[in-house]
Amino acid sequence: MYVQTGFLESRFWFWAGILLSVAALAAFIFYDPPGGRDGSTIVGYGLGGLSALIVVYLAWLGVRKRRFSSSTGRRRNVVSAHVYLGLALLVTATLHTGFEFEWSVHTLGYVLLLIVVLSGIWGITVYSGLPEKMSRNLSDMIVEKKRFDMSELEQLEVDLEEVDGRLERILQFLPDDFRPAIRLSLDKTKIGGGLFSILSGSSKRCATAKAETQVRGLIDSGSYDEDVRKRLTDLVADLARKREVAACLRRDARYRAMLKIWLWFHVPLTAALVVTLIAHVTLVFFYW
Amino acid sequence: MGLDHILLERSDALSNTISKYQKGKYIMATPDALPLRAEVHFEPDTREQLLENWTNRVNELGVNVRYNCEVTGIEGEKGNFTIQTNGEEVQAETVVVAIGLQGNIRKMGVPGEDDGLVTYQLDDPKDYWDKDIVVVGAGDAAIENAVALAQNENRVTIVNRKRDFARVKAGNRSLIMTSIKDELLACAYNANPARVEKGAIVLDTPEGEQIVRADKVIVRIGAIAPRKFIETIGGVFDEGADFPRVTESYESDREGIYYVGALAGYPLIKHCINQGYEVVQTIAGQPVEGADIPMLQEKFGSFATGRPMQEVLEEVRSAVGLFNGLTVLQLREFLLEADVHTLSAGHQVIQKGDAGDSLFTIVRGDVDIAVTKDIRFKVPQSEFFGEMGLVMGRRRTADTFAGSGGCTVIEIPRNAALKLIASSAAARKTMNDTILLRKMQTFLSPDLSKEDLAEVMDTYENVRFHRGEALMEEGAEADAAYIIQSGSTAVLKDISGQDVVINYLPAGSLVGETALLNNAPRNATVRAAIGVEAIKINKAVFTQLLERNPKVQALVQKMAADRAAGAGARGTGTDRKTRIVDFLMQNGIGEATNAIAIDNKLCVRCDYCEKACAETHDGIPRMNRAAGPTYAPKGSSARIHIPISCRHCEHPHCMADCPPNALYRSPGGAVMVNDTCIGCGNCVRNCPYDAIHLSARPKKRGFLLTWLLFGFGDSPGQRKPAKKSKENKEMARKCDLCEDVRGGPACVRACPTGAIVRIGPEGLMQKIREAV
Repeated sequence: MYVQTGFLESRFWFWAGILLSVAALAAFIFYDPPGGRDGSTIVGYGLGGLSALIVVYLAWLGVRKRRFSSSTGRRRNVVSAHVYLGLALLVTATLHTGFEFEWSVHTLGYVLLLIVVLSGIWGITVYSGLPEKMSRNLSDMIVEKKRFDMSELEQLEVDLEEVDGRLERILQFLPDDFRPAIRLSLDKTKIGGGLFSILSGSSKRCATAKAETQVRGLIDSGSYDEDVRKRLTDLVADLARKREVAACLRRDARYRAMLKIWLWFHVPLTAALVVTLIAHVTLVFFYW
Repeated sequence: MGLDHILLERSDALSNTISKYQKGKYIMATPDALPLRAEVHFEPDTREQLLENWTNRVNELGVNVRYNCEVTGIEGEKGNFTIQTNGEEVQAETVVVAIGLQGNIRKMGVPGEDDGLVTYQLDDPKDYWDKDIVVVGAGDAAIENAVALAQNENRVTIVNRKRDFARVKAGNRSLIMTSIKDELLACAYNANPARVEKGAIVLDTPEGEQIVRADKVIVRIGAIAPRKFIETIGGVFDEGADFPRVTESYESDREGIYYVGALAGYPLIKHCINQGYEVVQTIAGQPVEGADIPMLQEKFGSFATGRPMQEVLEEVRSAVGLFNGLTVLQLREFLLEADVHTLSAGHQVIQKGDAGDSLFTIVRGDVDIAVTKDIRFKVPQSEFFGEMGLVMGRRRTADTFAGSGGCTVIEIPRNAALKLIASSAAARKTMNDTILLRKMQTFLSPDLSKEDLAEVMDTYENVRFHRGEALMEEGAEADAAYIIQSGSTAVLKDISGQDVVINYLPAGSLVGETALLNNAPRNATVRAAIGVEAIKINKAVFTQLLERNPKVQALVQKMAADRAAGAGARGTGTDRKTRIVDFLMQNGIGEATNAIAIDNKLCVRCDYCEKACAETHDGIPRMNRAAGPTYAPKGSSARIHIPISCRHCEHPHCMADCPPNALYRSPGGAVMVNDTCIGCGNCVRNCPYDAIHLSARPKKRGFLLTWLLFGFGDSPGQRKPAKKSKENKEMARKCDLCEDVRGGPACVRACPTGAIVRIGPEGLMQKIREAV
């Protein structure tokens, strides 16, 4: 259930994109010059010019979205245009090539454009799917916000610190057998790390999970008096909570990374595309 | 005039009070508008210059003065008085008593006051240097002393019993406000001295006891009339009055004896001089009317045309409930600050939503208050309206029109009205009575009259609660209902062992009213969110009233039945929509007028909203996207997040306690802070939503070239955090709805996915209804 209107819901730009693609396709099909359909016919120049304009307009978003004091409309509408015109670009640019490919800067431009648009589609998928997953990940089930001025993440971090404090304290009341497991959880539980461990978001090798298994094993294999047993129940509860929270934080870090990482391809390749386009246009008009 | 006279002076020089003023004090000649009519020159000047001028003038005029002569009693009657003094007796036909009050200073009356730390006078501020000094009082003298001491490099704290400086001259008000803002001195608001200890004074503040270091405590809380002496010479004090009774011509109850100046209740020098002139003219058989009469005549315009002012004033005094307790003289002084409007039928008096901070009273005719489009509430002659604008500096809540016969109303500015309420017990009582009656009328039935509620009127109490103090506890026996007069309260409920705030009730609300309807225990806890002043209606008294008054009883029973039915209907329905609405209500969206709501299913957590906010507001973001409550229960697909940001509450909590009144509502509906903010942090503490922060202005962002080539400034695009200094003060920073930016709130414009809106509660509910 969406309460607000998202960037994909713009009918205007959706139909603008469709119309553009259909028009480009129609022009390509119905115009059949003697030299064959390629980029140097009138339709070819038309499609090429249009595609180049669209690329420049779309790249301009990077500048525009940072102009906070500009009062030209909502960024959401610009993003809608960006998405649907960018998709239409697949059609117009492909038709502009006339399906002639070779090892040259011209084809490089087309390939770059394809990668940029595809990374954009990747972006659309993460932008439209991940926010909900992130919300579900940090739902009421796991976060109980105690203070108004904290975010969910800050609350979970505070929770983890509290659990760690309790783990440190409980060490001195328990038999030494439990020490390695608890220390393992305290010292080796990692959230985040390198790019790949963030992106995997996996908790398979979570130290706290291991510690929990070890503790459960020790409890099953030994017999303890009442006082220790009570503490052990607390310990297991704390470790389980820590494992859940850590897993939740790892997932959140993964989602955050996913929301950003496609831009690592999309943005630099756009810059490369613009440079290649300049080369392409210059070559075509001056050295052909 | 050649009258035979003698001036008896207790000390060895004239103008004793003024010569005791602090050295170099600049003496003002207020009220500015009042013309001076005496043989003695008086213009704003320093103490020394003024005294010199007067002494010269007195010598010039050949006034017959006897110094060091203290009066001990007066015998005889008009035409033949014998005045006993410490020297020889004096015979006189008439006596003018102009002894002022400074001989009889008001004390704090707290333990430890007489242990030597406390003084009641400041002769020369230069006597103190590098000392901790506490000045008690919020009058002109206290302000002048405090500022002078602070200017002489003392650490000064001024103790104000109230939350503003309402009763002082305009010049002094701005002087003290700027001094506090510039951190020249500190001010303890809403503070009462509790006791004096060794080297410190203990203050009772809304936050609890506060100990303030003091090398000296200077108490300037005014003076009271020397009652004993006045009574021995035949003066009469009305019950509760601070000053003896005088007639229109300043004659006391004992014929032939006149009181002028502070003794008659007029502390301002210009008043004293004018009164002296008028009294002497009266004695000489050539009475003149007061200097203010022509001004009043002009003010009243057509209402007073062709009638003597005396008659008009008498009419006003008896016609307006609030003025009943004033003498005509007090009324005259008071009316100088007020405005009189005579309006034809249907003419609009107040427009809803206007910024208004005055109180209206009706002298003639009546007015209609349009509560809704169809329902009009009639305010009859003698009563007042517009009082909510007065109490909290709020916007007008309803349109008000002149009644069918037209009306004449007196508009009293906020400060004058506060002064009236503070200085006249009768006015205070009238005000409270009327507020109580109106509240009961809206609660039970408009047919209720003052007589129906007579017992309640006689027995209600005025109570105060500190911040956090409970007015009532959930589950406790319900013994009273409260009308919140100032401050606001939070309603809490125990939900699985935790106190959850379910509602906020601002000033003007009737709280705990169920107590009056049935015998159920309290169903929620109500705590003061800030210092609260309230009227307490005792349940026992109300129950007795019910037994005797079947009309009220019927109303109460009907109301109780309605409520019970309503409660049943409210209790049902736990579907998704109800839960979201419940979440929004619990998080205070109900009192918002314009809040941010983020659809977390669209939000990609890029924080562009926050960045845009910072960029449009000097680098200080006025919102915190990640913080704040989120509606994210398991099993529901709706994800609504309310980030921390101003909601522009209908009754802003922040405005309740702003000493310089720097918070205001713009015509566009945004709650804004203007430059008079003194950075005291009251609003920050009072905002239940954490939406206001104190911050100095941050530095400019680093610029690539200057940074690269010369090493100036911060690295490109970065700013160091704001650092406060004398020039760069901390001020309250909050959302201003981007009112001066074309295109609306920057946060909303900057969102790439359209997740964020700024919206009122109705709009948000509408969206949710459509979506669910």
